[in-house]
Amino acid sequence: MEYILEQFETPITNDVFQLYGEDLRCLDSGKPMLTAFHYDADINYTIELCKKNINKKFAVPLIRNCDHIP
Amino acid sequence: MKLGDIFEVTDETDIHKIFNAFDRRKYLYRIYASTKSQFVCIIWSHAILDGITAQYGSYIMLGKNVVTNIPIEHPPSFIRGFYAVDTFFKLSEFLCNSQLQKNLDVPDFQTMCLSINEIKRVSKQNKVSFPATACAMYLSRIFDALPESVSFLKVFISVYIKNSNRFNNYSIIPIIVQRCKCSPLDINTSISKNKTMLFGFYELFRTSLLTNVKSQIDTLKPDVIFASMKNNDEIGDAKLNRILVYNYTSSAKIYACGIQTGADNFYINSSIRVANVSLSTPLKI
Repeated sequence: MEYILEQFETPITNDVFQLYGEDLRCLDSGKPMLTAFHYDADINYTIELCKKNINKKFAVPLIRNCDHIP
Repeated sequence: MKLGDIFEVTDETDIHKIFNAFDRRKYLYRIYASTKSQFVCIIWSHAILDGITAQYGSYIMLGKNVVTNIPIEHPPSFIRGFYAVDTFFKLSEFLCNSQLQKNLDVPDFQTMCLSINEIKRVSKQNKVSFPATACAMYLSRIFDALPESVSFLKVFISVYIKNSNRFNNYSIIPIIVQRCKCSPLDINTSISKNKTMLFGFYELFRTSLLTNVKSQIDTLKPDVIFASMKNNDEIGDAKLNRILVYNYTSSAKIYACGIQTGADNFYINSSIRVANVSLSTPLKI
């Protein structure tokens, strides 16, 4: 399933990503969060898997592919 | 867009140094894999992704089985207005002055681990929900770590609510928790009493932009934001040990996010902006 882009949303791949006229990269309240996954075993397998999955996702727009929403 | 725009392998072992070096004007989502310290950290903009969507994207990237979260459905439209008005008046209860001082610019991050089996046992015994029990256990530790003069906490419990876009798929249930009334049953009762506020809160503060909601929450000055995230017990070949969420810029004085790892570990990572709060040594109860 894909979301319809918001009326005032510019494509995320543009140089300036805006929503309702605000540049999301510059909003203080939009500061980043960090999620850490800690592993006990060698993570090289995970790294390779991650690279593969990212390349696969690049085939379609990342943000618009939201098929987890029922 | 190429792989290097979103993914980086690093020798850095300090998560916070990675975060500090992250250029948020350049990136909205970026994955760092530390080969020396065996962790993958994902930095993502809360302006464009909420926690559920970020979790989903992270699992896809890391090859983990995704978790199905079922959002709460909205009530019929004619009731929504009533909930909004009702919530508006109830919010006055949360305008009271906080007993905590937000005096750390950079949060102190502390991790604790609860036993999922124990949380389930207590939940069953008291006939209350899993998040209510986890929240009660967590807040008990927080009260223990705070001076006796702190008699109550304004706690916002985040909930997953249906939304037509990818932003803002959450609302909150605000509760006031007294130090002497912090049992799972007490928390569950408070949640039940205020549960319609999640609809009212959504109606009052909804916007397509998550950041606006966050700024509105800030005016209510929560002491604690507590999020209990659903997960599966898959640890995979790399033996996933724990998943921790760090919130460097929370509007709350204490932000806590709990998430299952493995069969019995419920890790709660706290981002604490109150000085001299020392949670007990990470252990299971």
